[in-house]
Amino acid sequence: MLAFVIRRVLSGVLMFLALTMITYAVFFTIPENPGTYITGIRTTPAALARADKVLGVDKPVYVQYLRFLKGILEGHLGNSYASQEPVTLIIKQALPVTASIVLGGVLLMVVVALVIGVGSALHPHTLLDRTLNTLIMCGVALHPLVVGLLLQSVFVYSIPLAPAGGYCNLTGPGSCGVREWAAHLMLPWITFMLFLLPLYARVIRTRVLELLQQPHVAVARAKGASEREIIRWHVLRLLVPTMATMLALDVSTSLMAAIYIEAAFALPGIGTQALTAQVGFNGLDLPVIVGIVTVVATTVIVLNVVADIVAARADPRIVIARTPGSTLDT
Amino acid sequence: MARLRRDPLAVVTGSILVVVFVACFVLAPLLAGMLGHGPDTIFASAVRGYSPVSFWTRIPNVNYTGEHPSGSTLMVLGADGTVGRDEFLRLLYGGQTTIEIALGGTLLAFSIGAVLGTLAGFRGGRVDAVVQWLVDFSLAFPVLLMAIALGATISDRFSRYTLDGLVEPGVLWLAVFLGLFLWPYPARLARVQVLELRERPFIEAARMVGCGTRRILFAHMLPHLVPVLIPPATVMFATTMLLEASFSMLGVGIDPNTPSWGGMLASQIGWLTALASGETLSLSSRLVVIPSAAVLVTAGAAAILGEQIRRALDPRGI
Repeated sequence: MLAFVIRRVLSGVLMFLALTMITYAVFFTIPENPGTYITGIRTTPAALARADKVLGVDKPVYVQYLRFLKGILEGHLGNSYASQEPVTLIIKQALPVTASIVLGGVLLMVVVALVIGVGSALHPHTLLDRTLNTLIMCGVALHPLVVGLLLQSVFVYSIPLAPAGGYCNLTGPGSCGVREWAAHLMLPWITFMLFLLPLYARVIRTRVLELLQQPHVAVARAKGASEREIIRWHVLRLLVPTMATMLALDVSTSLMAAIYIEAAFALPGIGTQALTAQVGFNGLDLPVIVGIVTVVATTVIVLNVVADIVAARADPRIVIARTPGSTLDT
Repeated sequence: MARLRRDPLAVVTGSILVVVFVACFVLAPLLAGMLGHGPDTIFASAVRGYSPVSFWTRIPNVNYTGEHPSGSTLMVLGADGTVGRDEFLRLLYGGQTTIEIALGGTLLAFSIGAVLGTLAGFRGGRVDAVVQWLVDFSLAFPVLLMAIALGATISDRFSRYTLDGLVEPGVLWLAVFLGLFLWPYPARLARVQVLELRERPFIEAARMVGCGTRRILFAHMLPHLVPVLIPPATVMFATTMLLEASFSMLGVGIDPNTPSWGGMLASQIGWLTALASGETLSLSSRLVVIPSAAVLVTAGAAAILGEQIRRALDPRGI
């Protein structure tokens, strides 16, 4: 077990280095003049060189990368070209918004997926099962941006049930309390749910049907357990490791969906910051984009390592499964 | 197959897909020939005031150069906004672009994934460790942010490749990009399946009668691998269609002049945003509904068909 943990953590660290290196190489070889952020478009070569020196982009890429790594160890990610604000500050302000969307959305999605998945697994191949499958599959084919905008136009203006776009803090200055916070995020959560629901509901349905055919369920039945008890103790409990691994794998996808949900509902999250940095006035605001990529990738890597270790603690077969050449998969 | 044919849902979705494919790839050029104009032909007379003509409108042939060729043209689905192009032809030709990207990306992802996954499962050891690491690595990569960065710079360079004019500029590049980022999903599936197959008696038997590695892989394992990979492939086909739209919305997708469903949808985002901020608009929802419905029907049909195929193939009837 200890060897497994060490191996997973080491592979995570290696992955972090490789990811930041590639990101850095790709983003910083994009031909453009960050110096014009300071000097403006009309400038002289001398002024541009001075500006490059101020921004620290006069050095070769690998020197910049090493400096970037050193910065991470000291806890900062450089300054934005556009606003000169520290990137960590920008991310710190945006992260709670994105986290609220994703965490709330995942919670709602898991609950609804469990209801639909278990519901259709208990009545397989019936009209109910087919109808649910067909309906939720449409979620695969709807773009979250379009869904978000449509939901907003219906539930904010036509049938005013939700407050108009924007975000209000859950904690800290300008906080507006849990009720308002949740009210503002209700539609984003529903949009998020519709996006991931099809895949999860389908996996849950298949998994529940598989589990119901397992010997331990037959034994429980033979011992006189009610169907309710069987679902509760012998099926749902075994869904936890499956769900944990799936969710950790989908963090990346969730954050991508969050970009569109933020755009649709005008929420000041990570995605909005990335988009602003991309279409900035003087070109790409590279430190902001690299900072966001680094934070997103680190989140994904850490969550995957944690999910693996948690799952391995819950189920020792997983240690074997992650070992090369094993026939088990998580 | 027989089980699939008895499934009404599979029959309906399968037929829908066939109809969409025929309409986009066979009907579109025929129709363009019949109508005498292409998806890029601009009609000045198709825009009245600032509003494009709507469904089933016959417009006189006037183009922007001021010539007045005789006769009139039927706009089946109206014009595509203030530019004044034929929305129906753009829908059909856009289907070609979108389906090519989605199909190309999915096929590439599944080819890479199947090969690497099989290799990892069959060889095990170091090879397996490396492939698994690559899978985790690719999954942690923020695709969309990467596309934003790459889109602006290198896509122009790569967009030139069109396979001798077989596909529109940019299609190949988008398909390759998507394939390179989506391969880990099929790779995981292929790996597990091969690991399981490797221990089966029939593979042992094949090895015993002297089959080489290549023969075992292609003749004995591949037939068992394909059914496992088909259902997820249809779902990926659906999600790549959405990704195509996503890229267009970020301005890094296919060239806006090339018709594509994602591009048609992306060009109307301003309209949707105005709607979402409570403005009442005089413009109709036609231009949003048409490409959305096309994506919804095609991607939805593919995903549902995939699930029904999986159910039909599952020996346990799950």
